[in-house]
Amino acid sequence: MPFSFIDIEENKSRIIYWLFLSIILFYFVTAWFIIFVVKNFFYFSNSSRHYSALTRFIQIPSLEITLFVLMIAFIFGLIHWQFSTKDMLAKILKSLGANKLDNNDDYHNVLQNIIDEVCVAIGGRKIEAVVIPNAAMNAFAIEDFNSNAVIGVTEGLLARLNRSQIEAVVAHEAGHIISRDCLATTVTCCLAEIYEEAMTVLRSTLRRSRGKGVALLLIIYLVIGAMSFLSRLLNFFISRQREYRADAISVRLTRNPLSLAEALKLISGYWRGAGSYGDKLEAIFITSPAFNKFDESKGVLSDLFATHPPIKTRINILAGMAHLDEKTLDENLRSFKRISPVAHAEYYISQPDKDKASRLCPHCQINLIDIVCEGVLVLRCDKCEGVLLASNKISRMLIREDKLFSEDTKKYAQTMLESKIKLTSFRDIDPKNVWILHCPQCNQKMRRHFLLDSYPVEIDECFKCGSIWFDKNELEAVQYIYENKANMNVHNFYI
Amino acid sequence: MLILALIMAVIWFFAAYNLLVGLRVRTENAWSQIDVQLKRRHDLIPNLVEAVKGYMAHEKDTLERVIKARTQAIDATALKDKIAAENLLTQTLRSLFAVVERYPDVKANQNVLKLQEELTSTENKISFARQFYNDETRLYNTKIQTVPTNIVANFTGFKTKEFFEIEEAAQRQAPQVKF
Repeated sequence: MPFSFIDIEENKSRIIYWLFLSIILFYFVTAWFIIFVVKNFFYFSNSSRHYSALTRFIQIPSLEITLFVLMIAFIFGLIHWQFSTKDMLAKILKSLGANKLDNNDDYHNVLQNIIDEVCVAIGGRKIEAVVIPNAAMNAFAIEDFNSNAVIGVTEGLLARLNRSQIEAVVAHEAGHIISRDCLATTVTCCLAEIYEEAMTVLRSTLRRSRGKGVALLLIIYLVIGAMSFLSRLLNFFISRQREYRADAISVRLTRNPLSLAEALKLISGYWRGAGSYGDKLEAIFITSPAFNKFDESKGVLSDLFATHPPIKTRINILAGMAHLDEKTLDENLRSFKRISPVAHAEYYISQPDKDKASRLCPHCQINLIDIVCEGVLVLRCDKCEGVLLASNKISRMLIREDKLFSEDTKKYAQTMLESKIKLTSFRDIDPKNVWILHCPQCNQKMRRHFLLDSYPVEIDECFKCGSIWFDKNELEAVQYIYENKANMNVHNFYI
Repeated sequence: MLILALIMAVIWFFAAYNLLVGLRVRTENAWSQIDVQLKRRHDLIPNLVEAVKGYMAHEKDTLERVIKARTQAIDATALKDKIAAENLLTQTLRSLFAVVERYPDVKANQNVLKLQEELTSTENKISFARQFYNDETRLYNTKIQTVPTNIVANFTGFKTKEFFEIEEAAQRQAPQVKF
């Protein structure tokens, strides 16, 4: 079944219609139920004059009240709808902390190519790409009413999967977009998200406020909490079947069931990002980021509540398409070696940009040189081998594992960790040294502090442009510690 | 009654005609997508050849074949010739990539690697665009040849379109998809 924009447009309006009806129904049922409870249990003492204890029966709200409630529910639903579907994409991307692609980043360029390829495969529709700077492995797709679609993947996925596997994952996400369930999922997530937001705001207000207002706030908080729980029922609209369907579309687009099976297997083996995303957003991801006990089981109840099917079943279906059983797949993956998109972990850029203003090393006062390190563009001083990079690039470098470390770096990292034991607090930086370096980009003073508690590296950070200066070996040491954190007992060094 | 039936038939005729035109436009659109990607490939090839030339003095034959196939593909005008020439180009490029695998120096050159990534991406785009074009063409051809739309098609002169097919037998053995 080829898909066209016309088919998608026709279906879109139907989805919107049903979702809107469901949100009104949701408010109506809730309000009606509240009235029902209030009438029967709270006003009972007042009305007991009219009814003897024997003739006591359950009162059903009258038709007028029901109609009135319906009207109120309609207004509430309309407000809720308007409020939560405004700037849907921007809101979701912000809450996920997703960033646009970096043009100078080799890994991101490969992702951009892959997304462009998949766009061609689905007939030339434009899809925007974003990345979440996060070590987890996951991917998502969202779409709004104007057919703007966004596909996002995490840095962890980019760093650990092959090109064809990433392509299979992206095609799966594109499958959600062209099979028209993406919009429904996005709207559903946004509708449910609003309560989560309200609860977070209220929680912080509650913590700060004292006195009379607290009781009122507490009641509002409880009501919203109950609504939030009820809005989980919207997940009924998100069928587990859509994941199978998206898998099938991915295979139809890429003709490569094996890569998708491998990708799912690898993703399921890693941390998928539980806890860092809102609960309500789980439906937009390829594998559920939150732990949901329904997800990995079968049955009617699970089908109703879960947003994702058991990953084992998905892998089995895909492996079957590739004429493999899961055992062979496991064995193949054991010898899996990712092909890096860069030839060297570090290389110089052959033609430096002549127009750029000169940036001087804060120590040696000589020109810094553009160098690409694990796909990330950084500045380095050839004399003292210090490195300057923007603060948002650190997470990328830590997550990527293409760099091989020299023995010197390993030793340096070890001694650094050991010396950390002797330090007791951040005050161990000599106060005279805190503001000594100047930022090469904007000439402001940089502040010296530790990168993180568990990474006892002294860095100099510019608060104007966000650049960070690492002295020789320090960046490599942090990368080494991060990639080998399991063997190095990093967590013992928390102060 | 007869007049009513006649009016219905005319309305159906127009509807069927419009459907066919819509489908034809879709195949044309799909073809233009292939064209864009083919052109991009033609533009990238000289850069790649230039970048690897220095390393691969012994592989002059392979490089020349790529360049010749490119020229042929650019010069081809008829659809049939074009498809044949582009398939030849795909083949020669594949052999060039196979040769590059044998030269660690070339593979270690970031510039070559970037060009190779671009070309691989373009190759993928071509095959995806071709897939999409074939899907749309199949839909169009089926409508033209099946009852009742074939009556309209014959009457108004719709012609079936050619599929963009792959010549090689090896390529044809795509993984079997079982649902």
